[in-house]
Amino acid sequence: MRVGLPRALLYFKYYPVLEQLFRSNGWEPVVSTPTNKRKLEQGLALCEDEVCLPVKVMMGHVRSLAEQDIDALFVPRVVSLERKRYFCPKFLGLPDMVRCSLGNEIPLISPTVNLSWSRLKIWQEGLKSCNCLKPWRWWLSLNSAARIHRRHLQAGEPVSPGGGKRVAVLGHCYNIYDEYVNFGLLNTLAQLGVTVLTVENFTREQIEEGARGLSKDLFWSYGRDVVGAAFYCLARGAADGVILVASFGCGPDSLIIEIIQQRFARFDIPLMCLTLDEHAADTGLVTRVEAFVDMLNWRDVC
Amino acid sequence: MLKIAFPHLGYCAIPLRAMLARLGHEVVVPPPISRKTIDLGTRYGPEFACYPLKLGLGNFIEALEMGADTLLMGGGIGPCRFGYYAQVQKEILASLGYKFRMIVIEPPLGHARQVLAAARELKGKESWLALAEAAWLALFKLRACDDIHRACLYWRPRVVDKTGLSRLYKKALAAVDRAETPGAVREARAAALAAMEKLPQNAVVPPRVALVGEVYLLAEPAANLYIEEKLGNMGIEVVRHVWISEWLKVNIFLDFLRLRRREQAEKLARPHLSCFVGGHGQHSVGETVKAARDGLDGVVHVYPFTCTPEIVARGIMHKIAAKHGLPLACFSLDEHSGEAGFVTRLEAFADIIRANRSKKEAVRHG
Ligand code: SF4
Ligand code: SF4
Repeated sequence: MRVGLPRALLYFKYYPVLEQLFRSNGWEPVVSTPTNKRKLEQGLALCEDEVCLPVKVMMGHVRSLAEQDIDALFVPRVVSLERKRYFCPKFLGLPDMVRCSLGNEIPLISPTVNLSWSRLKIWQEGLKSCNCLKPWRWWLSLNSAARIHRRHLQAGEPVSPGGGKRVAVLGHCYNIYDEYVNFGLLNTLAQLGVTVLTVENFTREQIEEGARGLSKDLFWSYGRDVVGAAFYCLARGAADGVILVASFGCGPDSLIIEIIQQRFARFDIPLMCLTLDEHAADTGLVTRVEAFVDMLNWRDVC
Repeated sequence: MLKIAFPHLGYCAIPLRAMLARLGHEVVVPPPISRKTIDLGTRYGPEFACYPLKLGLGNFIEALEMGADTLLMGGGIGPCRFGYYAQVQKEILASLGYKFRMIVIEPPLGHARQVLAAARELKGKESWLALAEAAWLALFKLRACDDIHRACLYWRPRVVDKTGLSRLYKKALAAVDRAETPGAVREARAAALAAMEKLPQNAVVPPRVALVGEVYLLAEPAANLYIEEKLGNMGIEVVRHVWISEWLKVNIFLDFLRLRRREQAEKLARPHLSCFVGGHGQHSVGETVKAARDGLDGVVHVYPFTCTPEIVARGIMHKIAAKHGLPLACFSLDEHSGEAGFVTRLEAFADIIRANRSKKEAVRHG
């Protein structure tokens, strides 16, 4: 069975787990090609104006997959990947939004993903949402996926160990790793010779340590990781500068930026916020990033 | 004794003031939301935060200027932004140099200890019984205000003298505010309802539209640009299902007792939006379905600009409305929403509703 897997949203962080799950259940993953102009335009056409950029991009990927030869489309309803921490409301409503704009063209596979459930319950939910799973095989693949997930959570190598200034680039995985929407931000930074750190380069313990600086624990997994990493950089000087990448129209981002800005205002590590939207031009963004890195380099001289 | 203030939410200042005053605190009711409040909130609030956060911030600044030393605010556990409002507002106010304490009331289920601590602080030297009594009076007042407001929505399109009705409404709320006992509240409520009924009416049966959306915008007229009053004055009856007292009952009491059941709107929404998406997103969808089923003449959707749950709902509501041929007007509002454009769109919507109505009537009689 050929199952469409949009290269958008959480794909960027969890594709090893997803591909493993797909293959071990005998599905052939059909991953959409990277975001491009056409996908973005299709996404814009399918969404309400006020929807955040990443969801518009997601819709573009969904549309382009729908035009391919696939038997089903995988759009999970991601509720929670950690206890008492959630994703934003759009992740909860995503399958409904997709169904609403796609109609019944292609069957959707949209299991509810809530890792605070027991594995047995997750297994049942999978069977319920998709009747083509073989119970026994599904159980085994679930176990191996859990192993990969756990390994995946450990800190990886810095994205470009350039040896220069260390810049933490923090934000949603789908903004950081989607080169089209961020105009090749990571590449630009690598060319400028800096060492790029993303949320994935911080260990769980480091993020926990940073997040302890919050007056109330954040209930968004992603937001907590970003704030934790940012605060850790402050406390331990783990980076020479921090770039926050946000999307226009993102609910959680609007508060997370504020929390981080308030804290950074009292310290000496430079912070830059980039807000991505569909109208942004790449030249402006590249110039700003270059100026930021120049500033970091000059700070030593003066 | 605390000098305590809270953000505005429609007429909720009435029950809150009653409760806190009962407990012997000095209550600093911030001035009603004005352009100044909006400007303060926008100047100091995060640029892309939702509108309620900014307005609440404006309220707090004005109250602190009036000498409040304690701020009362609600909490939450996500997935929506509201649960983190208090912390963000607190940081901003502190960075502006204000000295104050903030009491945050979290949802009781799962936060029993925090709620108890907050309650202890609010009750001060009074007994627990006094706290219960004060809360009871506040609830009573809230219910009365909701009833009066509901009646006002019903009568506004029907009565001839709309300003007279507004005057009556204000007077009734003031009477509830003054009442000292549940009995007096009951009397004030009954008197107001009777007086509204006696106003001279015109003979037409007004078209009815459902007003749905995010709860703060529904309950705070200054934030929704007085949409209920405007629609009513255009001769359209506004039907609203989200009420603060109901909301408290379902989401605080029943939830705490683990007796919360799915509400009707949530059930109706499930085929289209099958899970809770934070805020009132699922309600908005459910009530659109209900409006179609009950044969209402239209739906008006109001929410703060970039409000996540309502945006999820909006696309789905458009589909449902189109399927049933139900006119749907969506207003996403914030500090930039101009009065002029708003009124024009509302009038255009009212025209469609009335045209549909006469078409329907022609079919019925012809
Ligand atoms: S977290 Fe922000 S960017 Fe991501 S889907 Fe939600 S609103 Fe959009
Ligand atoms: S429901 Fe809307 S307005 Fe309320 S916190 Fe959530 S996003 Fe903001």
